[in-house]
Amino acid sequence: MKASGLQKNILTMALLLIIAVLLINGLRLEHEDKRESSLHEYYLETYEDAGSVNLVETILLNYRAYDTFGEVMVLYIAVAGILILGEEEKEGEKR
Amino acid sequence: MNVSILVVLVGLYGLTNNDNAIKLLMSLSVMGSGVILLFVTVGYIPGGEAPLMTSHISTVDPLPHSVMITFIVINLATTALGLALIFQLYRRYGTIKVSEYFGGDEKL
Amino acid sequence: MKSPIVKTAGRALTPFVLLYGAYVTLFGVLSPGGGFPGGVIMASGVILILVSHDSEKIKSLVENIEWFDTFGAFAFLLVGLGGLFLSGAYFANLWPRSPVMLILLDIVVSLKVFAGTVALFVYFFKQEVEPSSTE
Repeated sequence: MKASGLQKNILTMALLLIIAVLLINGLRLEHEDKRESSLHEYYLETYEDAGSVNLVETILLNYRAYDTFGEVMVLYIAVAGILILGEEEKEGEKR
Repeated sequence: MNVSILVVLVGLYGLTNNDNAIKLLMSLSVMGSGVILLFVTVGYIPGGEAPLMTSHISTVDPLPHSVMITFIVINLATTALGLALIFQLYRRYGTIKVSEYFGGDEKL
Repeated sequence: MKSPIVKTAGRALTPFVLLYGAYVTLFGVLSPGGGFPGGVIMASGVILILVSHDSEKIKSLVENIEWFDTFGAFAFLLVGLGGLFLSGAYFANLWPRSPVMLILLDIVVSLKVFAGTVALFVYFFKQEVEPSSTE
């Protein structure tokens, strides 16, 4: 466990290099041959049912509104947690 | 795409080689930026434009963009909650160095 | 004490920032934008006037901003439940081929993100950086 700073840096660099090679090789396989997804074509065919021209907005609030609900709840829970931390600290000062 | 992997690795390096808790959170944010860049790159189609259907043009894949909006908001929530926890730790222990939370002898 | 330049610039810019946030929110179905960016832009306008003025009146306005956060989150749930009861599926499109549903959800989401961001900022703005006990 008595590794010096330089040794540790070299070890980290080697690990990061291995991760980089793995990531580049793993991501290239599905990336090169197939650019168009069938989901994209489906969105292009049916986006008019939502009445909007903004496809990102349509996906966010119509096709995947349940996901957006979860996202809103994540933000709500984060705010609630932070405010609960603030409340706790006020009570601690009173005691 | 290789640039995005580089950004993720820069974030990972910062995550492993830092002792400062706020710098760790910043490294997490940098990793998130790399992931956003990667997803937007994967959704790119040659010759595509922004996914607004005002005229009949070929657009890029809109799905990664909408997923990345979700990711940006969750990144914001994670960073804010982490900062609040670091405030609490600083109040209790008077330091933001991670190694000093565990006795202070062991250097990271 | 803040300098008069900062005060004047904050006071002059805030209405326009709020207006631009409302525009991005309401025209999210026709142009790039939507509830999340619009809410964050509106929150940045409020944050601008909070940091440029020290007045207690403005601070008391954002005292209970987290209630708007709660309201936005549960209004989103109510819109989804409305789709469930009126049309048979959670978040069903109640007005087919018209963007009313999207605009409604946009407004709710922007209100929620606006209130959440301002609440986060107010929390961090009130923090003291000195540790209470040094050990």
